[in-house]
Amino acid sequence: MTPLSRMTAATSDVLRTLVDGDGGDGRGVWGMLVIKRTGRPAGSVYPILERLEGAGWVSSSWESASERSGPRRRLYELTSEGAETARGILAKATTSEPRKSGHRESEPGGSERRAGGAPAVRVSTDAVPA
Amino acid sequence: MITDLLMRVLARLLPPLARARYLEEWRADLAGATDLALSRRCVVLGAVVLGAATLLVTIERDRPEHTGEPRGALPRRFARRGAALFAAAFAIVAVRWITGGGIAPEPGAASPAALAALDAAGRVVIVLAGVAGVAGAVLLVSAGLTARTRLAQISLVASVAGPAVLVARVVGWAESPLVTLTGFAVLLAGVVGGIVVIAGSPPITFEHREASRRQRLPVAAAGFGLLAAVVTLGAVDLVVWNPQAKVPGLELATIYGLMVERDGFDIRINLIAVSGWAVLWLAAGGLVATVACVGRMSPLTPRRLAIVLLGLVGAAVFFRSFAGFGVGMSLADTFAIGGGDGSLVSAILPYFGQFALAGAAVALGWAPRVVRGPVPAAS
Repeated sequence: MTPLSRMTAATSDVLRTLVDGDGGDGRGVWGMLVIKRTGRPAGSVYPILERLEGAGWVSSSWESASERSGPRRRLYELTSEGAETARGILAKATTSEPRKSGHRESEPGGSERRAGGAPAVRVSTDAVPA
Repeated sequence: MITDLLMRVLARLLPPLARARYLEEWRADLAGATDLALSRRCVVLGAVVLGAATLLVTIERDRPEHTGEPRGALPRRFARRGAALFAAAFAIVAVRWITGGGIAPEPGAASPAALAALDAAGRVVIVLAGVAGVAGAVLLVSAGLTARTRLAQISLVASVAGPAVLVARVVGWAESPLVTLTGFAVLLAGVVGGIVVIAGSPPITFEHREASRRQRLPVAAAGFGLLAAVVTLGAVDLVVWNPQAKVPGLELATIYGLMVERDGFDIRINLIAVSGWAVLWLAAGGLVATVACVGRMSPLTPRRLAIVLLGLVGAAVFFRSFAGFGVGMSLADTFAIGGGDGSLVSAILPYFGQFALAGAAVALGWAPRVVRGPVPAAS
């Protein structure tokens, strides 16, 4: 596993989603679920997942073919080393958060969050095709 | 339907082993959007397509799982092809420069249509060299971007910044001679860094490739035929057509008689020089063609054969001017005319030479990619 060159808020959100849990089948989360849970646009989520996988933080596999017809979902889960490091980073971020000014800076094209920390599902309108 | 077509197009632009994986993943994500109660379907569709498009830019193209090759092979291939296109452009421009912008046949040695065709060919050649140079630059930039190592990125910046500084000096934005020196130094640093990146990990190895006799023979025959034609025409031109073009109105025997009488021209020595030039290149080409015919399987693949035979054609045309130097100088001294070539064949042959060299450079750079299947990333 290689360290990430930068840790953005969007990357933290994706890591939190991966740490929080699977998609209900105990074998990881699929891309659209990460998009929904983080509230981040797909233009952020897919590259982050690719970067995390390339760095060895995350592994991915296909769901078993018998689960549904049509294209298979790609399921992402943290590697054991990635999970350990991610928990450390998120814990650090959580403890330092109260010291901040109380609002979260949103990234360009990113999402807003509801009070209480639950992510609001909002796909950036920038992503609407012409 | 359009979204799927768009996703397929985007997937085609991904690294080879990532295409099928991401296409299926995007399709599954779109199909499953309704399971997550994402009702604004058109927005979701757009978001996934935008996500796919973003991935094209951000994906690590050199990842072994995506390329099926060891890390470093992709940027090296980009750099090798970029350098090959630069070499091709250089070969074309260099020949144009050596021939003073192309050899112009003497009046009467070519028809107006031939002269117009030569003029157009000269312009096309320069455009092609420019296109090759730009494509080479794009590939070299791609090499720097995909390598993602600090050295590669520094080399890339230096390779762009060096010429930019030189351009600034040429157009007069910066006057100091130090600017020129700085430009060349930065460019040199970029080139040296680029070479280190190209030659770096993984080590360069000679890929074991073989071709059957059936694959080799057409290339060997065509290459040797081209070489034989160029050498034969070139030799005859040096001793017959070019003197006649330079001194129109006189019989060939009269021309040589006057050269011997007024300039002490030695026919025997000059015939040896011209025929020696012809025999040397014909023998080299014949040897290569013969070796290509030996054995059922041979490492002389069609591409490798083309590199050697085109290189021989280019070299033969280049060295022709040395073989005909004595004849040209004696013509100039005897008849008080210029010493340059003046026949139609003399004007056409450099095109064969420069395109042969450019073709050899491109074939050398375009070694086929070796697909070995997914390679696990180093942990």
